[in-house]
Amino acid sequence: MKTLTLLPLLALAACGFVETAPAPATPPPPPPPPIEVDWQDPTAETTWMMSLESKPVATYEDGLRAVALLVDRDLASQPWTTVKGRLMQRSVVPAEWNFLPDSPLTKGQLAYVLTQALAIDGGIMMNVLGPTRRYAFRECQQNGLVVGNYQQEAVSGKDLLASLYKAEVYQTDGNLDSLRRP
Amino acid sequence: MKLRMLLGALFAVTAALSAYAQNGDAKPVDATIAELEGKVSVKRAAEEAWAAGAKDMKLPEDSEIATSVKSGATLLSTEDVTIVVKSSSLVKLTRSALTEQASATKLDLKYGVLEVDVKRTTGRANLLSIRAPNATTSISGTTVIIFALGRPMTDLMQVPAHALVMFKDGEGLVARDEDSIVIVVGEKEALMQLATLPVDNLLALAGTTEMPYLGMVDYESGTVVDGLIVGDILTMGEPYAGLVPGSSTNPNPVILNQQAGSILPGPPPPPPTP
Repeated sequence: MKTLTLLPLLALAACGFVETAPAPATPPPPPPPPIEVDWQDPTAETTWMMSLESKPVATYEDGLRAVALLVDRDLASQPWTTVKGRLMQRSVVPAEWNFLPDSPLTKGQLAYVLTQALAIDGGIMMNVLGPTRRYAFRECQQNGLVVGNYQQEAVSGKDLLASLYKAEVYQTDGNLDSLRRP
Repeated sequence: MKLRMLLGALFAVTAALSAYAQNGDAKPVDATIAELEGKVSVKRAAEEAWAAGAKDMKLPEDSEIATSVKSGATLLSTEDVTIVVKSSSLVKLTRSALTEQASATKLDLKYGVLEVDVKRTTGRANLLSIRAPNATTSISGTTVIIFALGRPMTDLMQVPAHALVMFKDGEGLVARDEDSIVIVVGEKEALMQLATLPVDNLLALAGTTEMPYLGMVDYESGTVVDGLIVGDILTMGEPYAGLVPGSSTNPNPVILNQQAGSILPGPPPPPPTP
């Protein structure tokens, strides 16, 4: 009788309907150790960029140092508090931003600092309401400086590198036409 | 004892020559930093640490070069190939070699933008292979610009994967294998000269294993026009006289559009029907 009761179960197991114990999964490879940047080293800027390439999420500090490279190269190698303070003095960063340096950089934050650093006026809403992350992001999304859909999204290291290159082109040409198909 | 040493030396020389010959007589050449601007770092092959780059610095195969913001470097790989590493870029020179008939340059673009110009000053055919993640490409004449800027911008021209692209007027061709873009630039004569090289020598020189597809590109606009030939360019027999038949990759290439294949000597046009 017991055997009869178990038969359907055995048949289901044979067909794969009954969950069997999963095969032991191989552990994922450990992530590469973070690249330490000594900002006094002559190769620090390129080392920092290489560290960005492997970062799934760039930090707020990365974003501000990137903008510092655009507005004042020497500033980028200064200590974090100096970088942040000088950018606040230049109104590139609002005085009320007290984000931790290792907090994730959002696309809204990046767009805001880029529009301020590159003196991008923006559209009607940005002019009427003043610069905000929301409208700065829309402006940068439209002109191609920042990619993505939401200003709350985190910026990956590769996206930050791409934005940095485009921002440099924008700074020189006033637009990104040279990156587009003729 | 002296005889033993002499025999040993002779053996070593023979082995070295044999290895050299097996590599298609390709001779590695160092690239040179011709121009430099801003902050450029270099990691030469077999060195662990990065160092500041300098003008006239020699870069052997497997060297890397990284540029910062508002920086750039111009490399001369072989005599014909000029590589401009734009700002915020990281490139590895994986191959830089030449023979009497051809040169080969292979670049691995990790991120950033690369502009490569191939001149035809030496009469050599030049093979250029660029590996890049999410790359978009712009072609104008013999200058190719590769953008590896994270996500590709949709309004940039995309060279499709697995396409071997040929310039329409016969001045050059661009090939792309699975993960790299192989570009061969040269005048017709140089291309024909290249095509007469033994397959293994050529592939050893290029560092590739096969060239699977061939397509056409409009020389003026740089847009891909038409698929041309599926198969290995090097395995095409008659009517492409001079090309070496026989390859493990595709012994029977399918020619999709013979008319477009005017870059290579094609069959005579059929006589007009009365």
